[in-house]
Order: sequence, then C-alpha cells, then structure tokens
Amino acid sequence: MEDKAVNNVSRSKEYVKRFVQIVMILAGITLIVLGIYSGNVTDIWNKAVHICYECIGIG
Amino acid sequence: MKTGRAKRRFIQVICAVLYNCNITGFAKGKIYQGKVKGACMPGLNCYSCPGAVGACPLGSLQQALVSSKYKFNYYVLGILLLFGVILGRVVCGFLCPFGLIQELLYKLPTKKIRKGTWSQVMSYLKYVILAVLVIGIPLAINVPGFCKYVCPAGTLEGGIPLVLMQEKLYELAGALFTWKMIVLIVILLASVFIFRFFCRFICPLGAIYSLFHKVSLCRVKVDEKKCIGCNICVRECLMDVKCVGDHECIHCGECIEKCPTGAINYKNRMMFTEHK
Amino acid sequence: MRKKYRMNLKMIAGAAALSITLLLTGCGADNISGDKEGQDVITTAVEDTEADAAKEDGGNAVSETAEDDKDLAPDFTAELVGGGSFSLSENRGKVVLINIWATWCGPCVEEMPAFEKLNGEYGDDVKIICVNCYEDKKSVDRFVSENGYTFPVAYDEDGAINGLYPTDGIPYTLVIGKDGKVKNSYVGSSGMEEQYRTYKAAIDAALAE
Repeated sequence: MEDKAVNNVSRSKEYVKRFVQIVMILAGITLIVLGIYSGNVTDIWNKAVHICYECIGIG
Repeated sequence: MKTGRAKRRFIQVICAVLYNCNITGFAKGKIYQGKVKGACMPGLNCYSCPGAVGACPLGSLQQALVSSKYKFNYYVLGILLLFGVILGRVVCGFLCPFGLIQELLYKLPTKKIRKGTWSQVMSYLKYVILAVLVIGIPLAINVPGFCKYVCPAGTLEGGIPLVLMQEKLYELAGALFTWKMIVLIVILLASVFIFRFFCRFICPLGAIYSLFHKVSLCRVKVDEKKCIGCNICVRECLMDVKCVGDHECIHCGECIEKCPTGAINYKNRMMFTEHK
Repeated sequence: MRKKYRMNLKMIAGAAALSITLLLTGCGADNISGDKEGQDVITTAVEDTEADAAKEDGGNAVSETAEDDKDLAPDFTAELVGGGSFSLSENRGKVVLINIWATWCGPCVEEMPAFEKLNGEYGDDVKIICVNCYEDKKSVDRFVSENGYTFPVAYDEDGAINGLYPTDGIPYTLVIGKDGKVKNSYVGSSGMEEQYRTYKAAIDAALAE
C-alpha cells in the first residue's frame, strides 16, 4: 500500500515536470518567434557588429 | 571506458571552432558582420571576438536590459528558456568554449586544490554576480556590468586580439582594460589549480542554466534501482554537487564511469552514445 | 568494435560538417567585406593624406562629377531630427565632422556634450553631424528631446549611410577637410573632456589647411 502511495506521488511529480517542460519549450519558441518579428534579432546583430568598445572592457 | 570523455572533448572542440570560425577576422583584426551574428549561441563566446559568428546570450541579455525601458527583447529570453529547458548545464559541459579552456588549463600537472565546504559556499557567488552585474547594473545605470567589468571570455577572445591588431584600440585601452586583464589572468591562473574556477564561482550564464536543473530534458540521471548509495559519484565529482544532476552538475559524465553498479547514464539517449 | 565504428562515423561526419561550415563562412565573410567598398575609401583616404599613396575606387557616391573624386569621403544625404536634410557634397569647402552613434552605446552618449560645445564654437565653416546607427526614428527622437541637444542629428534606419562608413565599433568619428577628404578618424571615446580636445584639435588643423 505504501509503495502505491509513493508511486502515485512520484508519478504526479513526473506529470508536473512534463507539464513544466512543455510549457517552457512552447514559451521559448513563442518568445523567439515573437522576438524575430519584433526585430530583436536585428537589434542584437546591430550591437554585435557595431561594438561599443567600452561595453566590452576596452577603455 | 574512455570513449565518453573523448566524445565530449570532441564536441567541445568542434563547438569552440564553430562559434569562432571566421578565420579571416583573425587575419585582418576585424569582426564578422554577417547577418548570422544576430543569432545567440548557447555558450559563453563574446561577439567581439574577430572569429565569432554568433552573439553571446549573456551579452545580449545585458544589452537587452539596458534597452528594456523602451523595447523588450523577447528573443533573448526565449533563447535562454529554450536552451535551459532542453540542455540546461549540458551547455556548460559540452558547448561552452570557455569551459573547454578551463578544463584544458586544469590538465597542467600541478598540485590541485580540492573542493570542500569553502567551494560549496563560493558556488553561490555566481548567483550574486548574476543578480548584481547582469541584471541590476544594466537596469540601474544602463551599462552591461558583467561584460564591461568582468567577462574573461570577452577579454581573451575579443579584447586582446582587437587591441593587438587595431592601433586605434591600442591607444583607447586604459585603466578599464588593465583591470580586465588582471581579472582574466587571475581566472586563468586559478583554473590551473581549481577545477573550472570561473564556471563554479563566477559564470552568470552557468547560474542561469543551473536554474533549469530539475526540468532540463538532457541530463545525467541515476537509476535508483541500481544505486547502492555508495556516494562515489558525488565524492569523485570535481564540481560542487550534492547529488548527481543537481544545480552544480555540468553533466560531463565522469560519474558514469566511476559508478560501480553502472547506475548512472545520460537521460536523453538520442544526444549521447550509450555508456552501459 | 561496434562502438568504435559508431564513433569513427560520427567523427567523420562531424569533421565533414565542420569543413563545410568553415568553407561557407569563409566565403560568406569575404562577400561581406567585398560589399564594404566604402571601407577601402576611408582607410585609403586617411593613408593618402599621410603618405600620398595610390588611389582606390570610390564608394556608392551619389554625385561623381569631380575628376579626382576617387578618395573623397562618400557622399550622402541625411534626414535630420526636427526636419531638414544634410548633404555632404553641398558642404564641400567646409570642415565636416561625422559621428556615428547609438542610444544604447554608453561612450557615444557620454561624449555628446562635446559636440554640443563644438557646434556652438564655430560659425558656418564647420558642420557637425551625428548619424545614428540603424535605430528607429522614435528612439532617436526620444533621445534628442530627452537630452535637449541642438546640434544636427541624422536618422539612418536602413543603414544606407552607415554602409558608406563601415566600422567595427562605435562611436566612430571622422573629420573631413575642406577638400572633401577624410583627415582623421577615431573609434571609441575616452570621456567628454578628452574627446572635446581631440576633435577640436582635428577641426582646427583641418580649418588651417
């Protein structure tokens, strides 16, 4: 009986974990797509190819 | 069974080369300016490196926070979330060039300083650095605090090559650059005696990825049925883990080979070869 | 034996992927630098004034009427914040200071009071123009109004002007002489005071020619 209780607890833990994983993956993909459409990638590109030298420690 | 370690080393080297494959950049002393540079790479690799073809997620995060008052950068958040949940600190163990550098430095034959309570305590410093330098300072005074004052990867891969190859930057370099050189030398020296000194105590990116340790898809896992509780895995591990796969674990797989009953293995087999 | 075979295959596949990527990126990088013809003009122009070296092909100049316009600073017409426009060729005969900057770049923002000061010191002989680096107009407008700067600030949302004056880093400042050639160029900033002194010296030298 105890074993079953422990199994149930660990199984529900597994479900919660799976749920969190799926939510995070979906959220990650959504944010990335949203970011691309908002021009975030261009913003990052801009800062990566026109370097603010003091920002990386040359100064 | 040495193939696991060799495979990991191979992946680390490939990654380091791929992130920095713009060889013409090193030859001319100029950075890569192609469109790919808008994409963030998982590990710590400064976009000021002449060879870098991608952006650093930590640098991008700080710049995003600097500009966050006016425009929110969803992309960086999404990238960190996705890398975190899929890979977590596997990035540290496999996909970070600076992690590779530290491991190679540790190979130098010297007396080593082993982990202990002191290192357990120190391992929380990286969360403080994350909160203050990566999040706090950019929001408060619009400066990428970690990139500017600390990041040794930036100094080693970007600062030094650029300053050496561009005369104007040589003149520009002053007190700040001197400070960063000191930080770099201390970290590199310490890495010879203390395993992954930067990763364990300083790296804010590692701190971010470590937050995903409970949910990351790819990781090292103990088979409870085979485990006999000898704790050799934790004792032999060079990181400050309290159990296999916790927030300090970089999933390097060394414990897999140390386990006497073969109870440890990588969880997501499609990414790794079997270690049975 | 099978494990070794599997690893060998993966190593070969990895090495092949690596070589292909290197090749592609190498070619790609060359294409990028090939497009930046303006870079050749700037570097050569600066070297010319110092060493009278050979001339290179000009960049995407809007008007190429002069005969020896080969190492002139590339011409452009910029839209200014608050209306109006600035054309480099129309300002031939004056000393022009071009500054490439961005709102997110700390040193750029820090040295701006120097431009405010310089703008007020010279009459019509010296033109100062701060060209923004790829940011949207709203951000530039907001920055200028928040700081109350009065010197000419130009938009460059599509990067057309930035493409003529390519640089690895900002702030990037060029001083163009009365003959339209680049006399000096600077990257980075060592603080408002020192930049003010440096730019003033360069402008004075260019005026004296």
